[in-house]
Amino acid sequence: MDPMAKLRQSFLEECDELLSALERCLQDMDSGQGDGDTVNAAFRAIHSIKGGAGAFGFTGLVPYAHHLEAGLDLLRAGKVSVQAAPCALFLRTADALGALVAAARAEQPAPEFPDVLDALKTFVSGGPAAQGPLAAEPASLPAPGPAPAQPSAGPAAEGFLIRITPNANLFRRLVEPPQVLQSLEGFGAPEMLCDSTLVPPLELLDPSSCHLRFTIRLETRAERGPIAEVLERCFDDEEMDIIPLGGIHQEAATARAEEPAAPKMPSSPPPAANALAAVPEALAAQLNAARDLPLMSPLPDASGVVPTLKNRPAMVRTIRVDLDRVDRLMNLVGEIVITQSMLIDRSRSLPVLHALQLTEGIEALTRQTRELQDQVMAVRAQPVKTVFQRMPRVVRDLAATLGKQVRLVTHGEDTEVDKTIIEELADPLTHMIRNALDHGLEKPEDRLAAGKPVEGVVTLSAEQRGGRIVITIEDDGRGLPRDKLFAKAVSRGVMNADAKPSAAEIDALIFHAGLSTAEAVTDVSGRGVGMDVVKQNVEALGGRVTVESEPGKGCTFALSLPLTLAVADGMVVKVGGQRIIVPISSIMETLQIGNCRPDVLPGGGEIVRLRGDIAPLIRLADLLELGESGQETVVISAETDRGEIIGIAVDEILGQQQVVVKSLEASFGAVAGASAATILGDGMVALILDIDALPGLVAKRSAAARAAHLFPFPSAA
Amino acid sequence: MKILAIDDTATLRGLLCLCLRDAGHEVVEAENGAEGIAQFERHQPQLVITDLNMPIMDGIEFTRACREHPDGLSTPIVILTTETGADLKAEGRRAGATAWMVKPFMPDTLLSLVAQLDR
Repeated sequence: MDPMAKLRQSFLEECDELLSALERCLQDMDSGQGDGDTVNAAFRAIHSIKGGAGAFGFTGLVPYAHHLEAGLDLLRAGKVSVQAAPCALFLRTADALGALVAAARAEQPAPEFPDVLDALKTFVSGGPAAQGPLAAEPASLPAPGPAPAQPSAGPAAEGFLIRITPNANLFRRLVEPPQVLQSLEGFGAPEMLCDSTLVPPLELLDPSSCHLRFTIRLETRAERGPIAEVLERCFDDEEMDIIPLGGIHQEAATARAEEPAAPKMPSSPPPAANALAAVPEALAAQLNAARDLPLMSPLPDASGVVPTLKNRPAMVRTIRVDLDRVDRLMNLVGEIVITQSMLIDRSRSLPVLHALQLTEGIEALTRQTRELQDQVMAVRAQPVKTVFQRMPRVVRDLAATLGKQVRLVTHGEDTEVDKTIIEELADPLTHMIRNALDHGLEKPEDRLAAGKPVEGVVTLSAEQRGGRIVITIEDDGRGLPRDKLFAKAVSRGVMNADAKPSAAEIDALIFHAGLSTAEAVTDVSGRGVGMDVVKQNVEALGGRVTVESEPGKGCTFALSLPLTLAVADGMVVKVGGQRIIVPISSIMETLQIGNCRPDVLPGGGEIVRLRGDIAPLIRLADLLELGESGQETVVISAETDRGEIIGIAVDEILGQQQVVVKSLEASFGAVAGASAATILGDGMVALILDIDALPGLVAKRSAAARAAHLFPFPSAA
Repeated sequence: MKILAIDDTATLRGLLCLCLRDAGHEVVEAENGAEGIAQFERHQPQLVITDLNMPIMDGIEFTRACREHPDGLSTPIVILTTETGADLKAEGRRAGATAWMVKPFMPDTLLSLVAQLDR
């Protein structure tokens, strides 16, 4: 791809970003949260789109961008209050722009939205600033010409008299008059005069101020517009006069009356002849003075201002980095962690003296590796905001389609989580929000009948718990329809008709493939691919999703995800001859087994006492079938992501180290009770214990055991 | 010539750089005025081309800060923007902008302006 095509492509990508930023601002304005900054941010976004669209030749975009910009400018200028902004129209324009960008990307002809454009134009021209520059032509035709040429500017004039009376700061803004005036040579042969009569005597001269005036006679067939355009780059309208030569006589008469120094050209000699004579020298002197100035001394009037850069705003310096590079960096950190644990392992077999020396170095290395890892993680971490902020739009659009009133509340948007996870979150979250609106929330009349406010509330929140991030989607709707779920499960053969499942078990059926219960399949959701897909996606990320529902009150889905997929702190424990990693983030404390008095319950389960609490005891050797239990010496007290405390009995604690998390699903397959695997210093693979899955695993086991006890035939189990 | 190009839109900056580099200029970039000041201090460019509407620090603030900087008195500053308002332009001039150019720009026009400001 040639560089230009690449740039066009990345401009379109940028448009997507800018449009979503714009949409966010518009939504804030729509919901009454918008202020001047919001309007400015929206303006900047559309301004960038407009500028780029013109530069890259996406002319279809320009009128929409231009009028939206003009509309926002009315708000910016305070001519229309933010509250009175037609946000719906602006949002529709943003949609139209989105469609135009998509068409441009697909290299299809630009679609048209005449109604949007007309409505925008009406708003812009109907606004109080209709006569302002906003009502000018679209930006594709920048019309820098100020006042149109005077009626006297007939074609017979064939040229212009240009008078330039620069502002005193001309030299300070580094304009060099000869160069600017030279650019007029493209139009014809300009004749120039410089008036230096206003230059003060040397002792009063501030060499950085411009006291010169210029008069130029330019004979040309060119129009006023292009000439003005060239000059306007460096001079303001009030600094110059461009008069058609045809109208010169009356102009000159006025000029003579007002400004005796203004020369009339060229037929009659200028009144101030000395001005003419002084042209090159005076100009050169002033220019040279201005040029050499910084070398000589600070400006007289700048003495109090010189190093004001200290006062400039704090800088935000960012770079964009290809995600691949960060991934490679992260992998490398993982490899270093493995190598480091290998070094620790090897050092143990050295004679004590050598080992001690080596250990010092290794300890430093460990600290540095950890810091390196934290820093790389920080690079990858992103606030969940990036995903959350797409949701208001989903809710808005869907609520309108469904005819429901919905308010979305978000919490914890600044919770940071690994970029990979963020990316994978968008789809499940969108799906769950859609579900909540479509199935969870009742229709307005049903809500009223149930004594609830008409407006349904969906709460989306994120928080960090230990090494995980928990995202909950809560609605105050009708809750899961348990009878329907159960009936469907029976009809699909998922459950026996005479089974007596608990409420939680029924609710969990929502994650079962093909058990969507919507009576009518809408285009919103309810095609039977839904929560089961969400569950698969979330589990593939090493997370899990749970549901809690209360009929008539609402329903809460909770996604629990690891903060990072790459490296974790683990405690290496020995269980039945195997090494297992227990994630440090879940461990509360470790105790000698004798100190927590394990007791056997009548049903066969065991409990321990952990700081006054009673918790189930899980003997890992038993549960994971790693050998005979009974060797346990240590109980690890751990908390699951649901807040349950469990005691995990292991044979021995071997140590603590960072482990590189390697997915099992990708290379081997899911292993019950293990969330992932890692490579230890000696090159052996160890499983990482899935603390949160243990209670469920125990429950399944004991249910199976009970069944086996009641029906001692394998088929019944 | 060493030119500092400031624009918050990466592609427009890219376009600008492409055009300037093709003409044999050395280009350093910045995403906003504040970054522009930092780049200015670091690279001491001979010319600055800046966008107007940018987050953090806009083109006019940049121009003002640049003119107040001890090294920034002798560097021409071109404001390249879609804005055509006379008020803004006058404000730009007061801040010390050397030239004002309206987007979308034709590469030839830009290059001739750059050549004009080369000293």
